[in-house]
Amino acid sequence: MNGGIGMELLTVKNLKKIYTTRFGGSQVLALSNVNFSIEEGEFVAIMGESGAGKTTLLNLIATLDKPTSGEILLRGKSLLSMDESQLASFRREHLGFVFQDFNLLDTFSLKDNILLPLVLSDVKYKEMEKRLMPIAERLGISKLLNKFPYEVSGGEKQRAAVARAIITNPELLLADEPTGALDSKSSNELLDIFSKLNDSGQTILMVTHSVIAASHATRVLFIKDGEIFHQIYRGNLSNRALFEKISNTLTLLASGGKSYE
Amino acid sequence: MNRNLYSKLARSNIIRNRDTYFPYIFSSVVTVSMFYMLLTIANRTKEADFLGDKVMTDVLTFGVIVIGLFSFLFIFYTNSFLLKRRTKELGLYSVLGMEKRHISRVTAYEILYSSLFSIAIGIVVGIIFSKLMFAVLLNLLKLDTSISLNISLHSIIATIVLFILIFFTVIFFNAIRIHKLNPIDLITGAKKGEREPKSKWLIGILGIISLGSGYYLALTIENPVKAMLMFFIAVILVAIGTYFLFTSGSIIFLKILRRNKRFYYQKNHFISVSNMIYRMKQNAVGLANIAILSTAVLLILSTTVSLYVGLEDILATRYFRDVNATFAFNVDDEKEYEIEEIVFEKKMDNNIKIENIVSYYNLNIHGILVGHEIRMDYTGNVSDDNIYYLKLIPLEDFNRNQDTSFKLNEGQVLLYSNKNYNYNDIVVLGEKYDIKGKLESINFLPRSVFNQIVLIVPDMVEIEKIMTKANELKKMNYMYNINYDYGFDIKGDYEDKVNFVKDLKSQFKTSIEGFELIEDRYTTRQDFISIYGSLFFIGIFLGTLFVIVTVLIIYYKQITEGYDDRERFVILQKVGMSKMEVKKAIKSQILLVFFLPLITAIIHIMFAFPLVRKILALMSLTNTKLFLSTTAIVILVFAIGYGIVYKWTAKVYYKIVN
Repeated sequence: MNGGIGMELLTVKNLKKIYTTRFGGSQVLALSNVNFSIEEGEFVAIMGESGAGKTTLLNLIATLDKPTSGEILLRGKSLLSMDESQLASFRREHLGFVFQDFNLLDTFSLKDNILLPLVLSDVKYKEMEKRLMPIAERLGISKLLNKFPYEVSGGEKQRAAVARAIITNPELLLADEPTGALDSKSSNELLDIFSKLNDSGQTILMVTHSVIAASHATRVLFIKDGEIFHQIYRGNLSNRALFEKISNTLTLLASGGKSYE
Repeated sequence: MNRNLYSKLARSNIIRNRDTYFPYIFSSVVTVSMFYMLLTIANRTKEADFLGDKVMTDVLTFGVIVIGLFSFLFIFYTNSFLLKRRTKELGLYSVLGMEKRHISRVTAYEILYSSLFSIAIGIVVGIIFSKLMFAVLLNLLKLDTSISLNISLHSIIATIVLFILIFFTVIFFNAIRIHKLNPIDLITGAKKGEREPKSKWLIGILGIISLGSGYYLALTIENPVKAMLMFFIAVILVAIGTYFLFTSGSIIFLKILRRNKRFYYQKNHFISVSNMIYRMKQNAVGLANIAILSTAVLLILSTTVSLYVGLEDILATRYFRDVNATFAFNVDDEKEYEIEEIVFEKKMDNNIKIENIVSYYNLNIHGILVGHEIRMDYTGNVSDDNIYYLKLIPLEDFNRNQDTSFKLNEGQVLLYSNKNYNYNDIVVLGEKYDIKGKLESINFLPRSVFNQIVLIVPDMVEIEKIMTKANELKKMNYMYNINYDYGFDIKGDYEDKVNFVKDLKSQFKTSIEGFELIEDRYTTRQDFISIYGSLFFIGIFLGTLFVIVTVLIIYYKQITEGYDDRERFVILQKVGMSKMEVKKAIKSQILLVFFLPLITAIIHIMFAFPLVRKILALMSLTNTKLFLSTTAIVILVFAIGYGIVYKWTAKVYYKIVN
């Protein structure tokens, strides 16, 4: 376990989400009862099959959706008591997002895409530039800043998206299948970036079904049928070893086996 | 079997794409019905026999041609929007294994169904409303509304033929366009992201020059005769300028804004400026079209309404008295007496009362004004601005008609001009006169739209002197004559007045030597009503057609934008913009985009105003206040209508975005 001395950053308690279909007919249980917490400085991966409720969980934490019942606390503060405009500025200031399909605006250059959250928070232009350069260099996109999203590769787009997510110095970086649309080389580069960010203290919560992606995490949570089913700590394991451990767990999960650890 | 499949697919496509198809069908129905109505009415007036029917038939026939032409353009244009909206769907068909000719066939069926429907319903609507519109027309023309209008088989057939032709051309061009499409581009095209538009400085500068010179022309043309030609040049310049500035000027402007970092990196400007750059790229031509169509609607309606409403003013300008007769003879008491006799006799015959008699001798010549000198040698700088129409009237006649008692010595004159004349003397064909006084107005002369100088001279001797000089100097095979003008107002029944003028005319012709012409407001009024009433009528049709197309373009733009913006809306929210903020940002953008054309149109109209006023003056409408208020009302009504359309389409837009 990386650190283990960190404060509790995010706490999820008895989280439940039921979707009602549009015409009020049938109900779908996306999350039945989820409990977990993340400490500062952790890199947590949430794994599960399609439809297991991973994205629902992430959307709830990202405050893009509201749970049916349960609680989400960031540093002990409930996210559910905020109204829409408070939530928007909360998202901007405390959370960073990386999405599978990048979600860059094609009307902005990479630079403007990265600066977007700062502009929304009324930061002075000088301050923006001061923050931009080190991050761009760290992510290797300082030469691409004036290009537009359609002019760069998927990996470069995703790095720009990461830059956008961390330029506000968020307490928690949320990533939804960040490698999903990337080739294996770009995926590895991105995961290395995530590991480095984590080494320098960035807390990350990543949803993925890629075992390779998950093997970069310090802890892996498995979600099945709307519940946290199992978790693995990295401990002193190498990426390779963690990879094998995750694979084994997934096989077990798929065959309906029980948790053994 | 196969055919059934195509037609079934086509029908379900129309229903499924009803958001785009129904407005298209609706506008087609309106176009068809308007064409049918106008054609039927034009044919009816051709057969009819009433005062002014000839002029009216001419104007209406012209209107039919114009409406037919625009129907073609508009259906074509809206169809291209329709096809563009659906490229993705068509791409999907092609991926699912349909060949291009199959896709063409499906869209052909779609056009076929929608056009057959439009033609049928359009004609029915036309038949229903043509009676109403005909009554409106007769009312405008102040004619007996009992003239009936029947269903015209000829018009129905002509309408069907025209629109089948139009729709077949549309089908043909759709097939070509589909053939050119690449299926992969169709599907991925939307996702690839649009290239950022380049700043085209040359086009931007040309746009400014073109628009600027158009405006300059409109503002500086003094001469109304020139105004007519210059108006068309100005219209073309302004149209080109509008297109250029919308397409490239807007992008240059926005990029300059973007370069200003302090300005650009602010919450309110950041998103709107960058989005506007793309919106302008996609919409510039459409918006320029809206701006120009709106300008056209405003111009057509404000002028035709003004002419129609200002009819009495026009008649008063053109004809100083109800009846005006002109004769060519020098002072001749016997003839004067004879004219009075004839008028007296005919007025008794026709039960007419006569008042406000005006009679005077005068000489009309024209020449160029150089400094204080009127010359007839057209050497040197001759332009419409220095050609002057000179009228000489003896003092005695002037005093009698004006009810004044001026006195003049030899070599003295009184001067009136509708332009500024700043000298104390005037030389007419070498004869020098001192100006004893300048007249503010002359009560018994109609206003002239040309450069005019009226000189009141001491006696007929002076006039004869000038006439002799003029006839020596003239280059044309034409003799200058002294005229005798005789005018008066009449009272009585309409029929009596018309008969009176007819009688008078034939009697003058036979018994007065030197009779030139007689004009009266009564027979000409009907001619004027026919012309301006029909023009107004066509103005309504054309205005409606333009408005519908404008609305349709706005509507399609809103839908397209809606689908484009939906994704941006979602991303912005994820990045930390609240729903309210996003809504505000998008609202200010569409407000700007959709009111830009309206504002442009209003600016165009404001610049066109002085020039159009002069053209109207050429048509004898000199009542500026009337034209100004009509224009203001037309703009107001149009702006309100535009606002309503915006509100309605914005609703559709928000429905898509949310």
